[in-house]
Amino acid sequence: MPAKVTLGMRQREYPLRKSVVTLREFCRLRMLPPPRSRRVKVPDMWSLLPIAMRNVARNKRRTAITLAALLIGVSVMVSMRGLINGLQRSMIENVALGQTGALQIHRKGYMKNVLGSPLNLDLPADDAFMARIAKVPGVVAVAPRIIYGGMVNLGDVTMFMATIAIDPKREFATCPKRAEIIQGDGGRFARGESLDGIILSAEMAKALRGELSGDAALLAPDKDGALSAENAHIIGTMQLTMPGEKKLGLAPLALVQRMLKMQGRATELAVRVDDMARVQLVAANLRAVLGPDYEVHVWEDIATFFKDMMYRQNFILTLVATVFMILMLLGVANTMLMSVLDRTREIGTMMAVGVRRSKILALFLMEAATIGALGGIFGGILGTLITAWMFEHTITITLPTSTVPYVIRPFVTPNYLIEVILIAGIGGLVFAAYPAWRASRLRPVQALAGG
Amino acid sequence: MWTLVHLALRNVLRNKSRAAFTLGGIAFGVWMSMLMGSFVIGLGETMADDVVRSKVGSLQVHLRGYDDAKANQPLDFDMAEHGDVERIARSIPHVKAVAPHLVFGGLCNNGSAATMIIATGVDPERELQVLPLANRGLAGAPLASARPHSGLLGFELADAMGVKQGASLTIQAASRDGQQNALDLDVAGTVNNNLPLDSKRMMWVPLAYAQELVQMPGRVTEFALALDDMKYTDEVKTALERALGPKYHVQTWYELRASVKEIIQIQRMVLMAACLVFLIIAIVGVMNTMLMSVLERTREIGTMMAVGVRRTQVTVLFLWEAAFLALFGAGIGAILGYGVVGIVTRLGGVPLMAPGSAMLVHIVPHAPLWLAATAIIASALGTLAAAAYPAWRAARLRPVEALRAV
Repeated sequence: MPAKVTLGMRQREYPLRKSVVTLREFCRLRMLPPPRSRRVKVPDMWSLLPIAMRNVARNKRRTAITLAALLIGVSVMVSMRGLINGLQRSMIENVALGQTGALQIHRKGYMKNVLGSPLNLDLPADDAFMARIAKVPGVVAVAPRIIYGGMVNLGDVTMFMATIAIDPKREFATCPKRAEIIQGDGGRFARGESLDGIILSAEMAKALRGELSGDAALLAPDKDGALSAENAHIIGTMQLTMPGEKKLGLAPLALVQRMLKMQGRATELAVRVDDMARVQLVAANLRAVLGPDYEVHVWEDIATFFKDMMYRQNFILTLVATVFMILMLLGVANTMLMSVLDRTREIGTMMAVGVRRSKILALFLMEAATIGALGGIFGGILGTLITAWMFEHTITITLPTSTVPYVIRPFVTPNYLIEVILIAGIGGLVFAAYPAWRASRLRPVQALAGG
Repeated sequence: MWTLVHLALRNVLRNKSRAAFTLGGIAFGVWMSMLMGSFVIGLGETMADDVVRSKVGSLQVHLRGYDDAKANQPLDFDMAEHGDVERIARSIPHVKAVAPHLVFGGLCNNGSAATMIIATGVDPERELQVLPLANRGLAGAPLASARPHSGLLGFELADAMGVKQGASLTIQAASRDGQQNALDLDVAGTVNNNLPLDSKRMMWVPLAYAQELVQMPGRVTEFALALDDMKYTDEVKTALERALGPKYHVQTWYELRASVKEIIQIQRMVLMAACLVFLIIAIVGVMNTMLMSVLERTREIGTMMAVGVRRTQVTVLFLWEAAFLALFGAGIGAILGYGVVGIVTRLGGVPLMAPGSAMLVHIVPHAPLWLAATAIIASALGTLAAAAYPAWRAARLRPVEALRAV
C-alpha cells in the first residue's frame, strides 16, 4: 500500500488495481485459512435497483430540487407540444374541412396550370362518376367545383373576381366548415334553395362599399372564349381563412355550368375521407381506380403554405425542447456529482466489502436514470394535466395572415409522453456518466477515510 | 469586504468539476437564449427591412378613403404628381426621398388568355431612391424611363400567362369615366419578391405608361416616402399628418403590412417565453449547488462564526459565490453567443425559405447589446434570488452545533 496519504481523489500516479485486495489474497498474505465461500455475497445488477431507489429517496431535499427543475422543463415541453398539436389539428381541419377538402381530383395537368384556372381541363361531374369515387374505401363525400376567373357587375361597378362554383349540398357535406365562415343568408345557399344567390368575400364587399343588396351579373369567357353572362344576386359574405386570392366569391354550380356551357362537367372534385390519418392511403386507392387521366392531390400538396408552417413549428419546438432537456439534465449531472462527493465514505465501505467498481458505476447511473425518469413521469403528468385543462377551456387565437380565429384544443399523444419519459431517463444516464465514473474510480482506503 | 470576495472566489474554485457543471448550465442557457434571440431579432429585422426597402417604403400618403376602395378601382382618389403633397413631404425633416405611384387594376392579355392584374405605375429613377432594393428578386432588365413601354411581371403571373422576357402583352384598364383603354407592353423582366400574392397578380410599369393608359396625365394615387433612419417613422408620420391636414391619410409600413408586424411580435413573444424557462431551469441548478454547498460546509461555517465572522458576512459570502457562478457562466455564454453570431454573420447568414414562396432569404442574426445585457443581468439576479435561501440558512446556523456537525 502506498505510504503517501493525500486528501481528494487525485492519486492517479498509483495503479488503481493494486489498491483492491480480494479477501482470498488478504487471507493468503496473512496466512489465514482461506475463506469458506469463494466470494463475499455482493448484490447483482438487479438488486442494485432498489438500492438506487432508496438512495434517491434518501436526500429528499436534493432530489426535490432536481425533480423540480425536471418537472418545470418537462411539463412546459409537454404543454407546448399539446398546444402545437391542437393548433395543427385545427389548421388541418380548417383547410381540409373548410377549403380544399381532404383530397382533390383534377384532370391530368390541371395543377400545373392552376393559376390560369383552365376550363378546358375538366372532368365529368355526373352522378355515375361521383358514385364511382364514393365507392372507394375511406371516401365519405365528393363535391364537384368549377373554379374560374370572371367578373361580377353591380350597377355601374364591374370587378374581377375569382369564383368557386359549388353544388351547395355536396359541398357542405364535404367541407362542412365552409358553412361556418358565411355570413348573411348562407343557410338558403347551403340548402340549395337559392338558385342564383352568390356569396362574396368580405374584401370584395368592402371594395363594393357595401352595395350588397340587389341584382348582380356574373360575366366570364366560356370554354370557347366567348363572353357570356348570367343574372345573380348577392345573398351573403364570407371570411377568408387562407392567405391567397382576396377577390373571391361562391356561386351555385348549376348557374355557372349554364353560363360556361359546361353542363355535367367540373374542373375539380373535392373529397372528404373518414380518417385524416389515412388520407394518403385513400389517395392511392383513388389513383388506382381513376387511372392515368386524372391526378389526385392531398390537401397538404394544395395548401403548401400550411404544410410549410407546420414543418416550421415542429422544427422550432424540437429545438426549444432539446435545449430544455440539456439544461435539465445538466442539473441532474450536478446533483449526481454532489451525491458522489457526499457519499465518498459510503462508496469506500461498499468497495471494502467487495462491491465491484462496475457495480458502483451502475448504481450511480441507475440513480440518475431514476431521477430522470421520475422527473419525466411527473412532468409528463403535470404537462398532461395542463394540456387537459387547456383542452377543456379551449384557446382561441387569430393567426397573423388570417381573419378567422382558430379554436384550439390542445392534446398530447401517449407515444409522445412515453418518448419524453424515455428521453429523460436515458438522458439522465448519459449526463451522469462522468460523476458515476468518478465514483467508480475512488480508492477504497482514502474513500473510507472520508476522501 | 474584499476578503469575502476573495474567499468566495476560492470557494467557487475549490470544487472545480461542480463549478464547471453549474457554470456550464448557466452558460448553455445564456448561449441558447442569445442564439435564439439574435436569430429572431435578425429575422424580424430582415422582414421589416424587406418591407421598408423593397416593397412599401417607410411611410405612404393617400387621399382619405383610398384604403377602403383599394380592392376596387382606386383611381378616384388621385393627387397631383408634382404638387403640394410632395413639396410638404420633402420639407419634413428626416424625409430622404419621395416617389409617386399610380395603382390601377386591369386585365392582362397575351393574345389567347386574359387574367386580372393589379399594376403599379412607378417613376423608375425616383422609385430606387425610396425603395433601393426594389429590384431584388428581379430576373431581366429593370424599369427605365428610356423604355417607356416595358414593364415587370410577378413571376407566377408570367408563368400563368406563359410569357418570358421580351414577350409582348396587351394591358387593358378602365379610366375613371369607365372607358376601356388598351396599350401594348413589353415584358422587361419578372419579379420574385417573396409574397406569393404579389407574384400572382402584380405588375410594375413606368409611371408615364400608367398615366397614359388610364388617361390621368400628371396624376398619381400614392406617395411612398423613405426616411434617413427607420427609427423616425412615427415622428415623421405625426409631423406629416399635421402638415397635410385631414384630407390625407398617412400610414406607416407596419400599418400597411400589419401581418408583418404581428408575425414579428409573435416571434418575440415565443422567444421571451422560451428564454424565461431556460433561465428558470438554469437557476434551479444554481440553487441546488448552493444548497449542497451550505450543507456540506456546515462545519466550516461554524468555524468561521467561532472566530468572529458576522452572520451578515456569511450571507454575503454565499451570495458572492452565487454571483461569481452567474457572472462567469453568463459571460461565457454571451461570448459563445457573440462568437457564433459573428461566424454566422461572416458566412452571410442562415438561408431560409420564406413561407409560401420559393425564394431563399438569408437571415443575418443580430445580437444587440441589450440582448446580452438582459441575459447576463437576468441570470445574475435570478441566481442571487436562488442563492438567497441557502445563504440565509447558512447564516442561521448556530456556531456550536455547526462545529459539531459531520
